[in-house]
Amino acid sequence: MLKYTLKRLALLIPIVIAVSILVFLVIKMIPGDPVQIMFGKSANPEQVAYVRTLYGLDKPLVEQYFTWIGNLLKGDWGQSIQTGESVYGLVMERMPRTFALCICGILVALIISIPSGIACAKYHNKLTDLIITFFNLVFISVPGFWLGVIFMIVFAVKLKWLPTSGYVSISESFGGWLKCMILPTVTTAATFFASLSRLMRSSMLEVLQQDYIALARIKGNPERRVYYIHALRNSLIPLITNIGLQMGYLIGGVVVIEKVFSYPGLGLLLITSITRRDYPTIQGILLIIAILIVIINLITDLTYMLVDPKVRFGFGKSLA
Amino acid sequence: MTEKDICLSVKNLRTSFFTDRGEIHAVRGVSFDVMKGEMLGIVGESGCGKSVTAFSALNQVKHPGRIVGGEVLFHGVDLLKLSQDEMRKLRGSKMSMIFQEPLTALNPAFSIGWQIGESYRLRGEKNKKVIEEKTIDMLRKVKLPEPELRMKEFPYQFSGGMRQRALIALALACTPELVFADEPTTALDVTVQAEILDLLQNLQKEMGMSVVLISHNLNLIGERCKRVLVFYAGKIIEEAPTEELFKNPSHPYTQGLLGSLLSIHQGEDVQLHTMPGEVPNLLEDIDHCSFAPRCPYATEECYKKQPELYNLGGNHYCSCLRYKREEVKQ
Repeated sequence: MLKYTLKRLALLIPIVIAVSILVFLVIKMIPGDPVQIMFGKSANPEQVAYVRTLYGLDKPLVEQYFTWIGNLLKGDWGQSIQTGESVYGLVMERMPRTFALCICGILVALIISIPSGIACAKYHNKLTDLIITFFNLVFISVPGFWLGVIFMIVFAVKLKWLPTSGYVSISESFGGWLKCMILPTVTTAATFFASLSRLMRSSMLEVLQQDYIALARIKGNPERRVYYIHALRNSLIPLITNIGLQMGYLIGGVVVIEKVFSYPGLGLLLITSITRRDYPTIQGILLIIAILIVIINLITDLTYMLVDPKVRFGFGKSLA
Repeated sequence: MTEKDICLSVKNLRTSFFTDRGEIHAVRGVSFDVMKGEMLGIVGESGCGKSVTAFSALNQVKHPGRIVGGEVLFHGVDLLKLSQDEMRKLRGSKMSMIFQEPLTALNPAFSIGWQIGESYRLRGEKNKKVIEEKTIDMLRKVKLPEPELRMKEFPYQFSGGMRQRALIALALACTPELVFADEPTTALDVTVQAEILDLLQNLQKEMGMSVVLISHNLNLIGERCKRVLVFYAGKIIEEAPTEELFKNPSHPYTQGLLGSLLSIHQGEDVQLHTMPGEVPNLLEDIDHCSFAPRCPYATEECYKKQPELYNLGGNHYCSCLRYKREEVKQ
């Protein structure tokens, strides 16, 4: 398992190189100049030229790229053009918050989708199934940012149970942290629990037709054990695959949700940086997001091992 | 034969599958008894309702199937009238099943040892050591090599024959009184088939249980069972002690089946018998002899009346109007 993990981590290197090139080129294609934006319309051309040389923006693209990569390897992520802060510091301060939001979102989505999917399969084509399917379809169709705003209006503005936006760090006050995490987490979960629930339903229905489920009942397993022990583990495999595949969409969705709730994660920083053409910060954030996705995918693959013995032991040992 | 010797009694069992095309009458009124300690054979071609009968007796018919009538009496209690909970308590330890395809009948996500040990755990055994010993003991009984190591492995790591042994261990772990063996060797090599059947037969004698052996292979049933039920289109059409059935097959379908068997003692130029026609469409509710369209002796009456199982003497029953007589199987 360790060897497998290391192998997968080694894959990070080519991925990061590819992402760095792509990120670098795409950003430079966005029209607009950061220094121009910094000084506004009344900028003095000499001043602009001076600052451009200061940040190396006047050099050819290839040279700029290698300077950036070279510095990155030395541990220098550059400075934000806007604020002059270290990009590494900015990113590392916000990365754990975004990571926490993603993980909490996935967990909440699983807590909703697994039991609801099982209930659908259990009461296949009965009223329970239809009601859950109806709500799933509603949540599949509704965009996350809109739902975020609705949640905000209901729970923060009207009921005043939760703060509308902002962030309290966990070390400051756990209760405060929890309060401002709830709405963003639920909104993140809402954007993809429904598709997971649908998947759980169909995967469960398929597993329930298998002989080993009939055998589990014949052995005298209570229904709850049949569903949650014998069937669940086998029906989780497609679910885990799907979570891995949806990671990219999830992080994309989180960027928007962070903006809605002014949640100071990578997404919010990314949006402000893009509007200001803050190249070093954008590059740093996109790079760290790419690494995050690779790591979350790795976690997904490692979870396979817990669920599917075939992956755990490798296929080579099979006799048949 | 008295009431006391009966292990399971199935009475007028009817099971249908409700599909988009309509109701498929898979089992159309089947009655039979399984005696204590006997190995009863059920023979018939694919789709004749053999397996569905077994699943119905365990009340485990798969969706969209449903038992629409009849009784399944186990120790005098009608299983079909019990709640899931009550039935689980009764059946969990006393009735079991060996499936046809061991790969799909073993749960791929759990080790063999875990799956066998579960039977003991479900019946209240908490001591891990005892469970492990019992599991190893059971695997030894089915002659699985190196049970201590093998029990930690998963179904995909087993060969076909070993899987079937593990499946038998799984079915017998709760020391049942009655086991349905649904084509237990069809998925296996011929060489392994005999081994598995010997094993099953020895265990049956050793543990004193009743076995219902279901197969499409009349030769196999003939070798292993003392009594045979012949199924055709969801009904029993002949029931007899094995010897009697082979010596004196009465129903034209059974005669056809025996005629189509290949024997090594036959000469080279023997023409194998084939039956004309096809199995009837079970979407229709057949109210006459279901074999009549293929039967060389069919008369007009055969298309008007559903024959009953007429007693031909001894324990030989046949459902053909040619043998019509007063004494009918109840």
